[in-house]
Amino acid sequence: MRRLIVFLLVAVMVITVAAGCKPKPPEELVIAVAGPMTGNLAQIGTQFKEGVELAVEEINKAGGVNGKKIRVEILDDKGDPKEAANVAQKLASDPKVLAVVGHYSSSACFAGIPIYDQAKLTMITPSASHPELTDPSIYAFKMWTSFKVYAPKLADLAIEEIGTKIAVIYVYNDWGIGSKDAFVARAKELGGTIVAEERFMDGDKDFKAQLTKIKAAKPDVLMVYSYYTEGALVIQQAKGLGLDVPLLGSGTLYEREFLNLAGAEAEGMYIVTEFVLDDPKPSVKNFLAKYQAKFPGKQPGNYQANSYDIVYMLAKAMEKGGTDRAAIRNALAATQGYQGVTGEISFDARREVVKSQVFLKLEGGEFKYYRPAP
Amino acid sequence: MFLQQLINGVTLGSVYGLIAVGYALVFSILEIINFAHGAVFMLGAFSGYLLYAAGLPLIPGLALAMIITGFIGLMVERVGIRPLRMRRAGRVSSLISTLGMGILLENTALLTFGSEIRAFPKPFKQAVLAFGNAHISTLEIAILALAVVLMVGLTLFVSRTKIGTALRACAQDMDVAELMGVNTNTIIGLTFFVGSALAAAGGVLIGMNYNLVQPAMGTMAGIKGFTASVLGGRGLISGAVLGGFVLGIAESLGAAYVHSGYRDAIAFGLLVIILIVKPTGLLGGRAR
Repeated sequence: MRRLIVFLLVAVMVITVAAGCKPKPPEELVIAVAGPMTGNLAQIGTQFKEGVELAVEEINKAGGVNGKKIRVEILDDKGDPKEAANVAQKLASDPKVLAVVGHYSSSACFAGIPIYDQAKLTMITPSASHPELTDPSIYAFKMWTSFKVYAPKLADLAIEEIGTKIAVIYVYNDWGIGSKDAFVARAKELGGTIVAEERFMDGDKDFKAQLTKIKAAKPDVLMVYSYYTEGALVIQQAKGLGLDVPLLGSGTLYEREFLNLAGAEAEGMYIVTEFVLDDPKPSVKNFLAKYQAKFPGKQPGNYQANSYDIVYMLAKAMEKGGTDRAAIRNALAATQGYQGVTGEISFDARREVVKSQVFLKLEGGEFKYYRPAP
Repeated sequence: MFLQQLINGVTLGSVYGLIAVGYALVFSILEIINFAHGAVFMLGAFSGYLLYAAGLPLIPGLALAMIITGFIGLMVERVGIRPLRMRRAGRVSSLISTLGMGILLENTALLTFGSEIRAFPKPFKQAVLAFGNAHISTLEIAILALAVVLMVGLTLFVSRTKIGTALRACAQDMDVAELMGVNTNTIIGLTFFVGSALAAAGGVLIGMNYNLVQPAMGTMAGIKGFTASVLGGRGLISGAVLGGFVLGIAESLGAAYVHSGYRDAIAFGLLVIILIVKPTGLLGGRAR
């Protein structure tokens, strides 16, 4: 009996070892998507994912990169810097991962960057816009123009077209404070007066105290630096308090969900962004068609478009750099004048994207192309 | 501007009061803090959301949402607390069990509804009334009126009815009440039912006011309701109501005149100060 058991065990071992010697599957290139897949900002993570998956599917159908297929790995950082650091650790220690598309907020990126840098792993964020985001790093890239570039543009619009008494309400984090400072500096330079500056915490639901103060300051225009949930609440509550002034909003409000929550109340709002669906350019029309073929009934936004462009640029970089993390980073950093969906894309010496912006205006429940933002 | 901030604070406070009453009811009888209450509040908001989306008018929708959520509260007691009580487990075990029930309910909601934010249907047309410089919407008036009606109704129920008397007897001494022929299990179930129904009203009103529902909405609301109930005096219905109003007004005025970034710090700072000066809360008597 004992012999039989020993024999069986040996047989099992031999079979297992033999099974392990099967020919290796063709090597694949792994791109990770890291963003808020659950929680308050879940919509954003889905957008990163959609953009990446669309591009990867196209590239793989066309034969992949140097004959190798790209595989997408999705990680959830819940939009939380603490979780972002965990996710970064996980990705950095997995040698198969060659690049990371993410994270969403500047705060989450800051948490991940030191970890990616140590592992020589390229991180490219489709959304974060803190002006110093890439400075402490060698491997971090930014696909969204710094708010130092675009925040002042709304100040120009406000003073040229609306009025000089400006109130600002902003979310109290790196991005909100930085945007507000850049906007306020430009507004003052153009001769505007900042009559109220109020802040709130990410996740707050009641803004009436701040808005009542703003209303008492009698502004000509209200600038809102916020993510879409809080932004929608701010605007609804402002209207509820009788604060009926023209609105300016950050590009973060260019979201379907924002329109569902506050589309009617936010009518006439101006925002500045980089990619619009009704842009007449053929590249945009083409992207829209491909997107809607894969995701029927949905509309792409900035983040899908940015993520889509990112994957194509990464694929080009991997063509040159192969599976070497450092080489991919160098090839990506050398990108100049890539014709993407979101315009002509280059990276400057600080790995920050250089492209142009446009103003949008909310009319009839939809954000419409208004004019270029010089 | 002061008047407007006061209006903002009173509306906010009336909802905190509705949530706080649920904590007070359960505490008065079982002397535990029901940490599942925030999640029950969230489920109340979701029941309202689903009922209004199905086209129910204001009052029937609210009433039905309160009844459904009352039964959810009853379930929390049956599943999470009664088995422990029957085995004579300590209060700490029951308290931890409510934490677990809260997590269970919140994650069930996450799985069922998804994490995204949903816009709350508007069951009636809203208008904004202006008093000089201050604005109050019809919705805010409705919130305040409903909250006051429910809180007055609860007070009358507890002080004037036979069941209310039994409830007060249980709060004084459960064993003696049982000897006098009070069915304590029914009374405990009832406190959970009533507390959860009021939390549901709070959830529906908050959902309408901010025009959104999401599974994560219960966490902060639960903490605020708990704070209000401790502020007013643990286990006291009148204390919970007063605590709610004090908290709401303190938050609004604090955000307006101290600093808008510190509204939660002001609310919780106030709690710390009151607990140091008067550990039993605003209306609490001598510690038992």
